[in-house]
Amino acid sequence: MAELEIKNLNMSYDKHLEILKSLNLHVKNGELISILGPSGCGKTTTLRIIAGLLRQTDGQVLIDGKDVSKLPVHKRNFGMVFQSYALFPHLNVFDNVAFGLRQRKEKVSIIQKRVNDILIATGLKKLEKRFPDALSGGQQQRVSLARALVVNPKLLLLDEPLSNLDAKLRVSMREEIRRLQQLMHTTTVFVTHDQEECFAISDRVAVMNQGVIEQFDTPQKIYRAPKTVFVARFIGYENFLSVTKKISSTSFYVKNVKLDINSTVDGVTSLSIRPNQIVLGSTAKTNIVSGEIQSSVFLGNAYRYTVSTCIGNLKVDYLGSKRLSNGQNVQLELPAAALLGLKK
Amino acid sequence: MIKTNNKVLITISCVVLFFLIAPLFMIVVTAFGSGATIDFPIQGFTFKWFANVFAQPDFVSGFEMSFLVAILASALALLVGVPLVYALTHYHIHHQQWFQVLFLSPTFIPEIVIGFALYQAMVILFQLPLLVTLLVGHFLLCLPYVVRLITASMTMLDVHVEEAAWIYGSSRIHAFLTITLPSIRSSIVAAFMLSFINSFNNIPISLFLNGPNLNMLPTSILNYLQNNYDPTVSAVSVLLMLFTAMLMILVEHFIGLNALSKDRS
Repeated sequence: MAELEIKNLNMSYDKHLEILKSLNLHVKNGELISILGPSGCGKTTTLRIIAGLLRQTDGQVLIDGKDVSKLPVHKRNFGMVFQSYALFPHLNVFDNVAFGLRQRKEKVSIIQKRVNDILIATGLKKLEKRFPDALSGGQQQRVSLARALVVNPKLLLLDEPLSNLDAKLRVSMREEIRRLQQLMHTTTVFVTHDQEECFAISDRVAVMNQGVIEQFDTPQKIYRAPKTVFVARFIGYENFLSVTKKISSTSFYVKNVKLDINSTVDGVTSLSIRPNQIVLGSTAKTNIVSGEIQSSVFLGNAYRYTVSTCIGNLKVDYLGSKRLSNGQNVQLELPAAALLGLKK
Repeated sequence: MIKTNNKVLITISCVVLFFLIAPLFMIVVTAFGSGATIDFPIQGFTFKWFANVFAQPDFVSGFEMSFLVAILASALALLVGVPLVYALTHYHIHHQQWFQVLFLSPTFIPEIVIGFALYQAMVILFQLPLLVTLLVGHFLLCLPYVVRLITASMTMLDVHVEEAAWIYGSSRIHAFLTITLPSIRSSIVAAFMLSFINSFNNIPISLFLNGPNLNMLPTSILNYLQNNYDPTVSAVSVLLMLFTAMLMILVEHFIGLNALSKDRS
């Protein structure tokens, strides 16, 4: 239970390869935040620096306002769950979970009680005598989580903990993580590349790209109002239009088509809209562009058309049950309410 | 065990096993022959050659010396080899493959050359005691086995396991001793066994580093064989086979024989 603050974190290898560029992050006490990004964006590096497994080139990691940058890993009092579970292969479930408490030289009776409690809370009581190689992936990850939580860590660090599990287990496991995190009120940093996963359980999400946090917001805000092209693309926006000329903060030219938006950010360079928000066959007078259907794909709930227009090809989802034929001319409306202004 | 119905495979396996076992079988039989030379089939049955083994001071002192050197050299190879492999597999080291090859190189150089080179350099040039030189030679013999086996199991080991120990309060040394070493214990035992047997059986290196009061069992057997052709040699071979079998049984009892062929992790 603690507050985490990262100030101007830099990480580079051999002075050339910059992994992190002045990263700042503030996680409140008891909050669960996710760092979301593609592989190679620096999210795992960030987590390993927080844990103390890597030393940053520059910058600070503060826990409750105290700089822990120089504190070795084993004195930080954190818990960590790895993608590969990383259980001690020669210890049984009970001893794996008890490891942290024994290192802290707790009394035997206290160890017994706390390990017991957490084994019951995680549904592992019956398996306590088993060795890791006799457990399924999901069970191993539960043990790993129990091992992390039993020490009452100041900070719980989760490094893609669900990636090795199958789809069904992933959903139940993430709910388990959230339940236990809420129960124990543990400040948690969760690293993942799966947006659904992190939206489901996070209080806030930091979307990371090439060593920079592009946006740090609630899942709702990230989903509905991404601020940069990268964030929008990462969470499923497909149509990106480069602004040719800015008329006002809410009105732009893309080639010679004038498009209005409702809300805006500073320094808009692109406009974007989801395929299902474009209105096909609209009779509106503004935010209109005409085009010709190039191809179509059946998606189940809709047809997805690729429409070539004077501002480029647009992907449009249309719910109509009849498939429109290729070559047909259509009017497309890009409603101002759905059209987003994005920074680079 | 792999179950198979492949007749060709079974036949080939049987032939190979026959060629492996038949000579050993012959030696066992000849050890009990009452004739004055090694004969097959044997004329009569006797235990006297076994008694004769213990009557040869060179065999008894050779066994003691070989045993001592094999234990020390194997232990030394583990003490040097395990930390070495840890460094090679856990840290970014420039020209890592070169080091890997360097530490395996004693296997590429003919042992007789190693023995001769050590004799020239350490005994003649630096006047070091024979025993020290012998130990160094056998250590060089053992090191590649340790490096090979431990590298294999270290790279199989998930690095996050040790990191997890750090996270939960273990210092680096403590984590290495209580988490990493136990995780690779079967390959440590395997490396020790292979080292021991190789050192114990070695002739080429020991041949150059013999001396007064310093002879190894294999070289003693060789010497004996040059002057006598009686079944004492067969008898000592049988004893050595029993000795090795006993070692195997001990390993089997404590960790399982498959430790010698694969690692549990």
